[in-house]
Amino acid sequence: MVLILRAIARLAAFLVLLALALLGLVVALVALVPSLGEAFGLIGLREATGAYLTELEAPGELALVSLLSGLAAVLAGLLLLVGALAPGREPLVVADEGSGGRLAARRRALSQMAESLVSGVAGVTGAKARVRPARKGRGGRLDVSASHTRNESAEEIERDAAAALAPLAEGFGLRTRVRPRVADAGQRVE
Amino acid sequence: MPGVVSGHAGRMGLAFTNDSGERLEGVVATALADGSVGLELHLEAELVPLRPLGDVVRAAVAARAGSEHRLGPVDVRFEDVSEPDEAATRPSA
Repeated sequence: MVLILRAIARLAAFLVLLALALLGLVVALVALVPSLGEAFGLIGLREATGAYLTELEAPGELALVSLLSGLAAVLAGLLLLVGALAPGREPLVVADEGSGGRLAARRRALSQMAESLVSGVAGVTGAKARVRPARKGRGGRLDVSASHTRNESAEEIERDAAAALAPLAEGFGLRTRVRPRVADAGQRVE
Repeated sequence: MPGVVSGHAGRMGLAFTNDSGERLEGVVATALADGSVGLELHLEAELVPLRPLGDVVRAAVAARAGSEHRLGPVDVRFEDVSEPDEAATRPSA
């Protein structure tokens, strides 16, 4: 979907820029040589649009059609904005990059891996991980929320979870933060 | 290869190559200007250390590359991970 919107946005941008360039050329020529206004039919155009705008101000079918057209134009503009601004590629966490190639992982893969590692820590009842790739280059941030039983101290959970995550964090250059929290009633150690 | 579940067509489903009527999911080969062939491998892995697995995959690809084309950069991207039993029960595409 985003790919299609991106292609449409690029085509629309090209066509709009082309139309603007031609319009600018016409305006510049008319400004330099006023007699060209008649040649381009601008006088007649002013009369035609004047009548149209007068009719548009009054309530009626034309006003309704114009309103709907305006709303459709706004919607089309929003879709074009999505196509122009939406990120084309999901940011990846890069572990290694060189002439031999690049080793990288999607955020989801690393999150799942981190959650699995932390869930294996004694006393942890569940884990939720969030990965943010670095804007440039290697690494990123790994935030993990670890639920634990009341029997375990938060310091122990934080230390053990960080130790469990260490190989993953070192491999991908991730700065790790573990936030322990006491699990809700009913949660058990898996 | 141990640790690799399968090739993965990527988030958009565009990472694949058709080779003699066979669809190779997760493999994208690109002819580069210097005459070499660059490879992108999009993989689904088991819950194993990913960094060492990526190095093993790259080394295996380099070792098995034919002499017909010079191998360029090999990009390895882990698209997803799965539990071993989860991967075993998944229907094959």
